[in-house]
Order: sequence, then C-alpha cells, then structure tokens
Amino acid sequence: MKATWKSFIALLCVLIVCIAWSPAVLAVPAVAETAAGPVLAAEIGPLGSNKTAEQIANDPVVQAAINASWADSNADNATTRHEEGGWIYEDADGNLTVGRWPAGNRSGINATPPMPPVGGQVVGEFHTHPNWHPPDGKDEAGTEWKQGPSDTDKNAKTPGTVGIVKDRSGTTSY
Amino acid sequence: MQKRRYKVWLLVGAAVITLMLTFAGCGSTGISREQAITIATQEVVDDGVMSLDGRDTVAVEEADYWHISFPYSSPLLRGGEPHVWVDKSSGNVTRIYYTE
Repeated sequence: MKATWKSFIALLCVLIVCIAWSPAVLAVPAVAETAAGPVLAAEIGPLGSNKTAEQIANDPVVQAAINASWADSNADNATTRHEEGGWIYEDADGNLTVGRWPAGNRSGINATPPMPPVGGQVVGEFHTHPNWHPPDGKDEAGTEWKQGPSDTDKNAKTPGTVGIVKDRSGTTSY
Repeated sequence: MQKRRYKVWLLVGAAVITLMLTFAGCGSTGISREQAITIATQEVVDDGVMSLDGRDTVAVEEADYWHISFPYSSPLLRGGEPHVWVDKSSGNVTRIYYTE
C-alpha cells in the first residue's frame, strides 16, 4: 500500500512538472515574422557605394533634408502632423542629393518611383515619425506609438540601402 | 498485489503524460491563432486609428499572448501598422499600439 502511494506521489510530481513546462516547450512556433529586426547603421553597406550607412546618415545634405522634413511634418500640431520623407541619391561623383516625396498622412507616406541622377543610384531613404511622444510613446489622445521603423518600413526598404527615421528623440537607421 | 498496483499506476501516469504532451501544442493555449486574429481585427476596427484595407496579417505566438500585426508589403509604401496583443487563455486584448 505504501509503495502504491509513493508511486502515486511520484507520478503527481511528474504531472506537475509536465503541466508547467509542456506549453512552453511544445508551443506552436511563430507563424511568420516577415521583416528582419533593425540593424545598426554601421552594419549596412549600401550596394555600389563607397560610403558607409553612417556616413550617408551624417552627410550635411542628408541632415539638412531630414531637418527640413521634420519641420514640414508639423509634429507639434495634433491635427496636421504628418509624415515627410524622400530618397537619398548618390551621383556619379559620389555626391549625395535628396529627392523628396509628396507629403504623407499621419502615419504613412507613399514613396514616388526613384529618379536618381544620370549615372547615380539610390543609396538610402528617410522619413519622419511625428506621432511618438516621450516618455511612453503616447500622443495627446492616449494612443500608444512605438519608436523605430515599422515592419512596413522594413518590408519596403531596398536591401543594401540605408533607411533613416526621424522622431522627437533623434534619428534611427535600419 | 502491491507490485501490480504499482504497474497500473505507472501505466496510468504514462498515458496521462502522453495525452497531455500530445495536446499541449494544439489545445492548451485556449485561444487559437484564428480566434486571436479575429479579436485583434475587431479591436483595430473599433479603435479607428488605422484602416486595415490591403494589409497583411502576421500572427506570432508568444509565451502568454498572441502578437497580431497588420503590416503592408509594398516597395512604395512606408508607414505604421497596428499591433495587438491577445491573451492566450482569456482572449482579452492586453495591449494595442501602433508603429509609424
């Protein structure tokens, strides 16, 4: 009889362990994560360009365009804030230029087909994120916004080029 | 007699464990992927911040919740998507946030 109870208790312990661990161990695997996670700017090497992603992001022409886009975004106006952005081109001489996109809406923007200068190429893109507010990302209406490039942004970016998003905290490359 | 009972308990235990492990991956989560997507979709529609027209649906199973998001997949579209966390046992929405 004693042996039976011992066996029962032992089985009970095994069951408890199984209950605790089985969902975690046997959980259905993630269905899909379509976009890769963000990477540091320094890890990206634009296709065909001698410049690093960091050099492109810090270029004065690009910086000026990003700042102008941010100003045009009306980030401080809750009703008119919207996204702005554009392509970053490199011409045949290695100079960077910018081609702005038409103004977007509150949380999205349509890129126009790229038109790089003759002999040049697209080496990157940038756009603004005017909704995120520090410290918790919530806007005036209490809607929570997450910092950084969206999955949509990452899906759209041409591999090997640099993407830059500008928000209230500064710029993020991906 | 004791030896026989021991074997019986052992068999019963093995059977229960086998059944539990068999169904742990497909039934123990409570809320299925499809149910979570339905709940998340309704939440986004009710919230009214973003339209779901033309978006993909991505469902990722985390330890305690389903993470449902609705990104675009177009080379000319930049912008945010809704993300909804649905509790796997209760089906309650525990978080909704947006990217830009």
